Amino acid sequence: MENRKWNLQMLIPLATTVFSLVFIVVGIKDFGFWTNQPTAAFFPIIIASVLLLSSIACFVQLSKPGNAKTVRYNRDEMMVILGAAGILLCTLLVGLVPSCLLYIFLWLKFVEHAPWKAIIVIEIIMAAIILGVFVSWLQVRFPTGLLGSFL
Amino acid sequence: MENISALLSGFQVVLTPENIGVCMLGAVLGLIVGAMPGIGSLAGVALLLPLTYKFNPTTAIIMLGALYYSNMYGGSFSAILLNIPGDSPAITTALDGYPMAKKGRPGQALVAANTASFIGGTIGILILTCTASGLANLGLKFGYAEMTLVLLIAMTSISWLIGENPIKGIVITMLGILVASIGMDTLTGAPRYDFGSMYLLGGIPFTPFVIGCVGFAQVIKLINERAADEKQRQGEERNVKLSIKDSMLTKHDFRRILPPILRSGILGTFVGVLPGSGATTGSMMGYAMQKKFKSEEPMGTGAIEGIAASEAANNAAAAGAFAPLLALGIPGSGTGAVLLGGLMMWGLNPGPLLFDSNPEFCWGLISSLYLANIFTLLVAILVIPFLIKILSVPVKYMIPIITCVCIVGAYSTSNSMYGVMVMFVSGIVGYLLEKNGFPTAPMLLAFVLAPMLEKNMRKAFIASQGSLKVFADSPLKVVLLAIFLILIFTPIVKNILRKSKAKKTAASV
Repeated sequence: MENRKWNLQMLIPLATTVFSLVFIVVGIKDFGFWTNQPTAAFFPIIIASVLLLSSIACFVQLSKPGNAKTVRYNRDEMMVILGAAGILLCTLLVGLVPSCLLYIFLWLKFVEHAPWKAIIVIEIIMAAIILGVFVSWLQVRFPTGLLGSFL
Repeated sequence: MENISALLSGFQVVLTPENIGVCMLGAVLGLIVGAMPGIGSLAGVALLLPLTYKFNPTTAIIMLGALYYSNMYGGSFSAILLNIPGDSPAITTALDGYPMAKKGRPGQALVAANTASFIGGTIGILILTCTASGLANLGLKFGYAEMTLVLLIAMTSISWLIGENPIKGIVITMLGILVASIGMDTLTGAPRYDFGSMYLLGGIPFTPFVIGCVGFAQVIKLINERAADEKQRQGEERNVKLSIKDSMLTKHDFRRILPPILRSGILGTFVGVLPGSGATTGSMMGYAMQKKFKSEEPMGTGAIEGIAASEAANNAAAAGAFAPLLALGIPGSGTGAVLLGGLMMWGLNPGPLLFDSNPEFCWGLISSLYLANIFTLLVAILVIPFLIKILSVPVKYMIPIITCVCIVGAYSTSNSMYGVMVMFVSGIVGYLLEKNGFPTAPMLLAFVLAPMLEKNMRKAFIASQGSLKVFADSPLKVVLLAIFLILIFTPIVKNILRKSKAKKTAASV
């Protein structure tokens, strides 16, 4: 008997299995599969069934010893995700454009320890791109947050 | 003859100040994005997609076409000067480009790459001009069932070709289709799978989804390349001076590169037409083919023939990929899928009817590729003296910049924070998938093609009243079905054969 070991890679087929089951159950419950002609859920149910079968096959494949490679996650990758999440949260308070510029400053200064000259040049270029291209040219109205509403 | 007059009318569409301007802008942006190591054409096109919202569809696609096309040029810059390919098609360029630069001929290596890109690309565009409308005419003969089979072949082949695990390919393709089916039924417009959310009712917005999957996911990966980039830069000589005059090729150089360019240009175009293969496969096949021919210096040691073969093939493949995209509505690669998504966003339905319903658009795009090819060559040569400066932007500075471009771009295309949330979540999902060996390009292709596949499949079933015979009742359908089944079963059979061979080897030991 082969010794099967749990690994993080197996989470993905597990998640797609759940995802496909949701589509099958909701599809059959709300629309059915075929009523004189294909229903709105006809196609998604077929696809979800294929996804279910392939996810199970993938799970079995990855659970066999030697098939799953070790994947390492590191702190730096998490920092990028947290940085972007920080912009989203900060947008609620000070708006999107200031949040982006603030994020660039904080990242360059405290994560990359970049020199002031580089920080200033990048901030000016990014401000010019956001304000020049997106705000002036494409006329996008970015959210201004609580601060904008207050002002 | 008909194609030539159509092409001339296409030039009438393109040769307006606005279209020439955006074509040039696309060429410059594509060169810069292509030269920046680690971004790639897929992420580059996705990140710059929001900029095209301001234009009409023809102008917008001219810009994106030029951008995608010039990206192939840009990838060779960092491959030759830094030994870091700007994009995956430039991997083979680095094999000979960097050693040639080390031999003291960096300028000639760059000009050889640019010349090869130009001639190879021209071959690709010429073949595209001659075949695209013929392919569209063939497509007009396709009914719902044939179209379903063609779409299934396109989706299956890209899943097989990208990545080494077919099961992962199927999982990711099916996931892309299911995500696309959230929102409204493509035939009746009835809401489905919205789970009571007002946002999900409108479906998953294409541009933020793509920006997240490839742009933001790429930034998360890019952070791991910081250290290697720094190390590489410390080892480089920063005082190299390049000038256009010193970079020119000699007659002897030109005689050496011409045969590989012509061979790889033709090969690359046909590789580019195949779904899933794209410019990377094109450049690898071009380089591999050159190995079978004689080179003045051994390949891999700075042979100018190697650079020419690789660059001509990847540009030709980039041009060739437009043929199935325009004529059948089937993209050949992830970047093609983004372009197709863009076309759909602008209300155009790529496919056989597009050449009839919007000839000015199709021929305008094809003729803009000629223009983009010339502009990019000019810009690529003029920029040579400044390349060292451009390439000295470290990866670590690009991380916060691209993150902000992703967020701002996602917001601008949806005008709501929902778009930014979609970008953020799809970025994390895309990163986790890539990290675990699930390629995201098939998911994008499936996401774009899913509505077309569903519409054709359901209509085929409605017409046949549910009979599966509709997919095998004519010789053409039988051939298409056979190709589809071969694509499905080949990896399975290969896997079984490999395992039995391994067992036999183990038993004999």
